[in-house]
Amino acid sequence: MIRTTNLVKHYRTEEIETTALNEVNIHVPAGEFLSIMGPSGCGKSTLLNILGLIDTPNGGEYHFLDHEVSKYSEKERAKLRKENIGFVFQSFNLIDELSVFENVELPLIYTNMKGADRKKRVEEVLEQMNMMHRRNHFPQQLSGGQQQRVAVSRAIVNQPKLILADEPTGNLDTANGEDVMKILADLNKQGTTVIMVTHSPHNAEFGHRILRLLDGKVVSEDKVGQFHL
Amino acid sequence: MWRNNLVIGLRSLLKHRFFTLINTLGLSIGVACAILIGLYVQQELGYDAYNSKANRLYRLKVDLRFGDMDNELVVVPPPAASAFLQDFPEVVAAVRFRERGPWMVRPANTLKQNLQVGKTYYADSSMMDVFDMTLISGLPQAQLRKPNSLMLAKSLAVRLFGTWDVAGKQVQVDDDSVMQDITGVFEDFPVQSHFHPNILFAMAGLPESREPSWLSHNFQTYILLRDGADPKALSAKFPAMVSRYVLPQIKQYFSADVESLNSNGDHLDYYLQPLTDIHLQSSYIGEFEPGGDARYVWVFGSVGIFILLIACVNFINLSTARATGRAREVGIRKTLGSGKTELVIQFLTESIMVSVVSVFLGFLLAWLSVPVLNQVAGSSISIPFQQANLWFSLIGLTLVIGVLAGAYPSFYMAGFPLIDALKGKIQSGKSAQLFRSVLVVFQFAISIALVISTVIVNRQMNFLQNRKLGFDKDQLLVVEDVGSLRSKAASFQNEVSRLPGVTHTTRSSFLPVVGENNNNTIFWPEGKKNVESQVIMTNWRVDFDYVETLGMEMVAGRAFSKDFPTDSQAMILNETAVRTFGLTDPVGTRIITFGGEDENGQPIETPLKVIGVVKDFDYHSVNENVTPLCLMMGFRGSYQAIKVSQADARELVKGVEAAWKKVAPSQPFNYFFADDKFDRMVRNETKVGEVFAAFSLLAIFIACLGLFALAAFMVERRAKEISVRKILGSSSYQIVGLFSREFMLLVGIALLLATPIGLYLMQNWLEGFVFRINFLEVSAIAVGSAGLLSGFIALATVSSTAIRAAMANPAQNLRSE
Repeated sequence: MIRTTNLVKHYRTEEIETTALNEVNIHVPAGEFLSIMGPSGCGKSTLLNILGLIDTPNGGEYHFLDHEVSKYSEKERAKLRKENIGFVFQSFNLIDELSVFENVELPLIYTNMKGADRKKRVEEVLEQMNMMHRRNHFPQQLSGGQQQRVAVSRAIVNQPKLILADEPTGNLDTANGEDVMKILADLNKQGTTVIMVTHSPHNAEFGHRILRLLDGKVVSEDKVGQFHL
Repeated sequence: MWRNNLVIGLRSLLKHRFFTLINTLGLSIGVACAILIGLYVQQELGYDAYNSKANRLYRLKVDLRFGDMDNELVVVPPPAASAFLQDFPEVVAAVRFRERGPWMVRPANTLKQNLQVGKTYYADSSMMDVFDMTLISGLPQAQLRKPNSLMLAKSLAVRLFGTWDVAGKQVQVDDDSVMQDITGVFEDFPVQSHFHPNILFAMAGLPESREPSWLSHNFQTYILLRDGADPKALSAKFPAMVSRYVLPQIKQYFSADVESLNSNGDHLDYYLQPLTDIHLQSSYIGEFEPGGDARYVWVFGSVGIFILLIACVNFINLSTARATGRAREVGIRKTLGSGKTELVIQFLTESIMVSVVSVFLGFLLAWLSVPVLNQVAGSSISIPFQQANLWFSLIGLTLVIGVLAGAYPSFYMAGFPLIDALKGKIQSGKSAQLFRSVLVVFQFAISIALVISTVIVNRQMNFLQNRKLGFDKDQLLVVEDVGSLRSKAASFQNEVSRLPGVTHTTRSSFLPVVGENNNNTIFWPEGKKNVESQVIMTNWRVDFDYVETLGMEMVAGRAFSKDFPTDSQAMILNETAVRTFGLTDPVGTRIITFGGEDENGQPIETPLKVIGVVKDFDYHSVNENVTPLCLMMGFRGSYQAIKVSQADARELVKGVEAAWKKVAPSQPFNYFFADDKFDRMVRNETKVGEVFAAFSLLAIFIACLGLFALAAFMVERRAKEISVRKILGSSSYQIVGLFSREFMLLVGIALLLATPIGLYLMQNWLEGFVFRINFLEVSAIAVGSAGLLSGFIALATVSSTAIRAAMANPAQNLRSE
């Protein structure tokens, strides 16, 4: 599903150039649950953003679903993104002005799905995430765990092939964090590829493989559980 | 998508209530101003367009220049209409009007009180073929055909008879023994007509209408062209017509030929004036009613657009200033697959929502202010609810405002780079800040230019009001309709002159500024009957004591006096007439004019001796150059002017009324004080100044609303900086200074930009006045007061928010970080 070759990313301020990613080569087959770990500033989030087509690399190649996407325009990336990728963020990134239902509905709106179909699909997902009873609430009225459930609902409502999670438990207590991890593991079991950035060794264990980054480079890869293509 | 956009738009607007309120308030006021001004402009531009044949209908205009006289008249000779009809196949109908009156009118054979009725005209029977009129009583074919028949406007019919269905009845005019037949009643002419007749008399009853003279100009004449006729091609034939009809008469009476006329630069040219142009281009001799002023249409039209722009700028500035706060939303939406277009549409939806609410509130506000505006400005604006155009315009206005105000912020926000937006790394860029500053300067430059204009306009109006007029309008009581007393007028005058407190009294139809003033005839000095020496001069018939009652000043010779029986053949010239005739020693000179006709129909030349020269006085209006005028003896007249020595005028009015009742118990007693009437007339111009001032203040108010919100936002964003500065020892005063300095600089730049623009425009405006204030002096005052006013208001606005921030507990802000 994902293959990168010598992926490079620099950040430039007025005087200093920082290398965020330095010739990163990874391969993620469909159906895998990959955990990415590393200290702050090692390039984890940058890698995730590039994989999620939010950011573009300065060098190297990125093959996503057999497309070489590193030179894609914003428009082309947006199309691939909305059809194939779901995002879960540490800070949930829900839109405060929209209710739970409306937040989850948002990705479907951008795929021009019909209203009745959208309603059905959103309700299905909220049911699945056990959030139906909160459908008319606004993000500020929910606990952190509930907010992240909504965010996960939003990420999967489109039935994406790939879910990218950037420290999804970072703002949650242990119980709620555990909950979210189970949901991600379940989704993976149902066939969705998951790539997750985390600081927590415990959470990383939910993956099939743990990739460790340091100063923009992949320094190790450990297999955790059983994973067969 | 739309529902989502609307929902999020609405919630976002509610969440940021303060900014929404400021935007909506500013835009609503701006929209209300724009609607009111738009209605005014539309009304002014739409005059006479209600006529179904308006595009083929023209008024004849004559441009006449002989020697020093240069006149543009919209009254033409009596035979012009029939000559145009006969000679030009393009002309399919023509109608003439001759102004007469005011008259005293009452239903025939009743003891009802007379009504004084103005705006009464003789009209040709072709009237209804040319102008759209709705006949509500009487038969169309019977109108304006027989002498002593007339048509009434509905409102007058109701006032006279209590009903409008009065065709076939009779009225008595000026207590005449001959009754006039009412052949028809017509609906009153619409407000947007350049004339509003109350009575139309059949032209057949006016012998003057059959006179063959091409040298007297007294008939307003309108011609209707056939469909598709080219008015330009028609106008090209006019010089030949002048040669055919007018020049032979000039040659006959003045022995002048075409060559000598042309060599002196003298000319007499006919023009066509489109009907729909009349209202805004009506400063000619012989107008039915004072018209509008195209300059005001332009001025107010631009003020309306500028006020709306100022309000839109508030929206743009506040939206871009707050844009960073919405960056995260932009990031999330983009991540979830939204394209730039969808985001632009989303943000535009929000601005259009604000616009919808503002246009609705603005419309409501305009609707409520219409009566107030009409009262203050003396206008007759109404909201045409039943016109589809109004609603289409409002929808159009909503979209224009929504897009105008929302376009820049929408593209600006939708253009945030995804990754930065998501990470909350969007900073208000230098270019966006510069753009905001430019817009603030723009707002204040317009406001300041408006204030400069307001000051100059109002100073000019004051100047006109207080200028020396050449006559004394104070403590001058004028009794109207004295003509209706007929033979008893003299005994009324006697009674009045005996009243204690009355110093002088005189009878005339002609009073400066407030009375009738058009009665023009050709005069020439004895022995110089050539075209160059002729002067078309206004001549007023006045009684003894005229000069004394009006408080005019004789600069040479004497006024009329009962001691000189020959004064009936004498005249008094004004200074301008003396100059125009080129007289060095005017007193004793003989001036000739035509007076009646001999048995062969030839005009008789009548000599008049100049016995005195009166100092020039304003008589047209306060804004027209004094033109040649002479006073001649006459004992008729509709006004009795009474000069009072005492201050208690009310007592005197009682005495005068008693004298009136004594001689004419059945006639209504009408009077006015000359200074009141004069003030009311000048007030028309003053009103323009007042309305202008109101709009300028609103412009400043809206600009300051924006400034207030912008300052509040800056203070909010820099709360931490303020706290750190305070902890490091900065005083509240310094902090207020820090914020105010930035904005005051912008206002200063605005002042620099606005000053030349405002002054340039006002200099042009002032050139339209014959008498005007000292421009240099008033400029200094205007710029000074505009600078101080805008500076003070801006400073007060900004510092009110800054002071609050400076007084706040710094620990609070730092803790919340």
